[in-house]
Amino acid sequence: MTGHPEHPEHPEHPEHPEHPEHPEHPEHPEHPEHPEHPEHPEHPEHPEHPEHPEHPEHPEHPEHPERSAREAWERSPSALLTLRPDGTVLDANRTLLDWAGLEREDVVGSRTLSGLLTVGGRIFWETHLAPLLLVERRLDEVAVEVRTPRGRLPVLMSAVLTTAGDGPAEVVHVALSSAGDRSRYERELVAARREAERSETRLRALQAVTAALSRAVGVDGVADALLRTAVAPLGASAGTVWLTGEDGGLSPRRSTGAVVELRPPPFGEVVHGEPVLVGEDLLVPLRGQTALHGVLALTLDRGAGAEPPSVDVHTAVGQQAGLALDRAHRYEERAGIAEQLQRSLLAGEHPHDERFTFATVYRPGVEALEVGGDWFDVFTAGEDVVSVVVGDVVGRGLGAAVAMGQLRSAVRAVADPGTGPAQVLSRLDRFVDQVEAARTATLVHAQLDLGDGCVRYACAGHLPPLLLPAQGAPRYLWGGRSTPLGVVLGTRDRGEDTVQLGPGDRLLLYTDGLVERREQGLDEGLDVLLSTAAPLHGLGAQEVVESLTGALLDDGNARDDVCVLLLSWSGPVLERRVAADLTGLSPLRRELGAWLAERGAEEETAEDLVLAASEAVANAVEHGCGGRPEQHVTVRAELTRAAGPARDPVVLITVADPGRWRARTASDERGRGLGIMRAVVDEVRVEPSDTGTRLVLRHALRGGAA
Amino acid sequence: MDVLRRNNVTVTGRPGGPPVVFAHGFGCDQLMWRHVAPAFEADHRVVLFDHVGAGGSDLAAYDPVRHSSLDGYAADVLEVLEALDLPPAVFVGHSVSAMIGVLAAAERPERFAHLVLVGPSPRYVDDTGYRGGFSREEIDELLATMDDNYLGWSAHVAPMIMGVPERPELGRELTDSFCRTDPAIARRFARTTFLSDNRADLPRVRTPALVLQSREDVIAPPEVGRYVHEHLAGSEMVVLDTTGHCPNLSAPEQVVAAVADYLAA
Repeated sequence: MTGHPEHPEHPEHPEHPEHPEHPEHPEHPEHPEHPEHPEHPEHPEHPEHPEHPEHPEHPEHPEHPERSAREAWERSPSALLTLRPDGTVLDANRTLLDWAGLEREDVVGSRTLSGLLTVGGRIFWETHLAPLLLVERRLDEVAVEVRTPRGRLPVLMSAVLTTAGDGPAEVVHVALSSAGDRSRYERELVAARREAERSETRLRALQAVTAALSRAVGVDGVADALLRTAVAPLGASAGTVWLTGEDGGLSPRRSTGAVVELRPPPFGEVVHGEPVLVGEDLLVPLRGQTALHGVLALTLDRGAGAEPPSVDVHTAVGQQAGLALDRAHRYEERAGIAEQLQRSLLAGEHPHDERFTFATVYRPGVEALEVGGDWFDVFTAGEDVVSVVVGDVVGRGLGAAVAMGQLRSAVRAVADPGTGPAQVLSRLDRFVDQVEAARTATLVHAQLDLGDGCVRYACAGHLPPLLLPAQGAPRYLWGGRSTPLGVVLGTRDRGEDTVQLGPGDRLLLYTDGLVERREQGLDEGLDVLLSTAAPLHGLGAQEVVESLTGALLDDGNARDDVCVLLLSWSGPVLERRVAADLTGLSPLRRELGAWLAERGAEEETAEDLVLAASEAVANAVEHGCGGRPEQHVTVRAELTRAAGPARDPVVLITVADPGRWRARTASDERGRGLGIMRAVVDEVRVEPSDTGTRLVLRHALRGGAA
Repeated sequence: MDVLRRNNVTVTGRPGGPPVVFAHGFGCDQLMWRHVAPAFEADHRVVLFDHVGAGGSDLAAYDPVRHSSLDGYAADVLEVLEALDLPPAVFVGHSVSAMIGVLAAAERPERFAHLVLVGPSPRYVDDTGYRGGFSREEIDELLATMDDNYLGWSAHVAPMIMGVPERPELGRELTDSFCRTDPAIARRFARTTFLSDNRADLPRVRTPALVLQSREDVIAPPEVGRYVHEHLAGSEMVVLDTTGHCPNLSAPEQVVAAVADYLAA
């Protein structure tokens, strides 16, 4: 019966398809349309259900926006971080953690960004980047390095400081992109550039040293050049040049700063070509081709910021300086020979005569250490004429010294008695036609008449003589000028001029080294000489030349060699007439005393001579003039020289009267005062003559028997 | 030489007021004080300058020997004070300038009224019984990194300052000066800064001093600040609630307040 509920076709029978328990019934859980059936779209396990992980709206579905943004952050090829403004890491992506080899919990909340960088980057961050970020609120592409388990990773860092969300809190977003290739490339560029700069710096320092050494003259010049260019410019605070002496030992020659000692001695055994670092000192051997010339001892800069010394630069400096010292030694030897020759040529015999005095100074050139062919000469031409010459041969060194010697001899040879200065120069013109090296030499030649003080002089292209009068202002003598020797303009006639000297007047001859300076004109130099010489007239001749050269040359700018000659005329004989009434005796005593003092007589000698002369005059008046007041006595005082090798100066006083008298006995002599005279002067002679009687007093000018 | 030109000295504030001199540290120049110095202008004569080699200083005055030690920088400071002929001044030195101030005050105490030392360190390298924060190897690494960053120091820093599209006026203002340092001089200054040891100079100072220390500072850690405080007779120490080595930029208001309180006390 289908109507019976248990009949399978009855609708209430469980097997009936309409029965709810029948699997095909829609309410049956296994029916696909039942909501709990897994294939039903609303069932959570159905792929189209939103909570199903494969559903696109499910948060874990890869296409869900949150999931993909986080994924992009984590998997970004750049390392990304979020920081607090103080640098503490708030978040970091997987890339950063992978680079740093750290887990998230090692980093977030505990580390700062700078703690992830190498120490250089850390300090760069703290001192530069953090301040900039705070001021600028951003950084772009800064090169720093991240510490990784595999070493440093070069990155470029960009960062912005911004507010987080809607709140007032600020955060820093940082992106680090790997810059390995770019960094390698840059480093190669940097390394190349730094190497180029280093080479350039070294080259420049070495060039400065080389240039200074090549200009240096002599051993001291080399030492000074080293101290100037190889101490401070190469990072040392003090330096000393030690030089090998003749005994082979080292001694300090020149220093800048405190003397740098050599440790440990003996240094020569320690060093064989390479600079050696001894404590703070760098010892640079200065080795020539065959010998160790010395050591440049440097105190290296001790400041914390000082860079380490460059041994190869110092090695090169030592080699250069060693060769420079080779040259300097050779040069000094050669210059020494030339100077010796020059001095021996200048040291010849010079005349002695009490009627004139002279003084000279010769200084070899400073800059080149070389003699320059300057000379002076003093010789007599005839009994009463003294000739002086100062000249200058063009050129330097041995050649100039030899030419100077020839020309100097030639002047003596052609300056015969009676040949004036202009004629002497004309003869020298012919001489230098034959002697090439002496051509265009300049010279000044003066002839002083010792009797009357008249000077004839001529200048062949030479600086003018300077007249220094005993009283009054000095002045240059611009007369008698003509061209240098061998230089002929139109006529071969040479001019000359004259000047009259008074007693005690002086004539200064000199070479151009005394007045020429690079930085001043010749006129200015002559003015300086004039003003320097003016106050010196109270000094003796030698003091004058030494004061002049001292004042003019010790300014450190003198370069050329210098020759100076000062000629002083002592003045004529003293000749006076004294009337028989003896009114003129007092003035005579004074004048004679002054005359003797001018000639260098000591006070006691002068007093003795004045006493003797007074006695002689009184005697002459009494015995020679017969008491006739219209008669007079002639007194003449002169200097002469004693016989014998010393040729000591001797005073000769002659008292002449018109009478004829003779001392016959000792008592006569006493009566005539001869005893007094004999007691105080060396020799007293009475000489009768056709016109009267002469009494001659002879006495050594400077003590002792003549 | 004109030392005021050499050190790019600027004087502002109240003429005749008590002088306060701000000295910038390693890495930057006087603009480091831009948020601090103006606060003192109402009552003080404010002196700012750049160390030789930094900012607007005369680079030609840089002397590799003189400036290879902090004494050379201290001598520069004394010359500036001399040239300004100031009464005893408050010297505020940041970072390496703290030690430069210590050296100057030890040398010429009559020139100084107070020292304010911001993030001082008498020695950066660890030593027996002393922790400076860096090992010698790390300092060598710094110097090597600085060499590596040669371009970074010269070419990169400039575009970094200029490239502020949103704030072009700021960029232009800063281009010529902020943190501008000649790279070669910066390298040497780094050696001078990080290899100096001025611990023995601290006891020489008799000038009252204030140590300003950041809570955290990898360059000059708090224990180093304490070391300075303990070795400076008559010094005080204030820990600022900020991190990093440049509290004058990261917490300028705290720096101003601490200095003002100290000077008012």
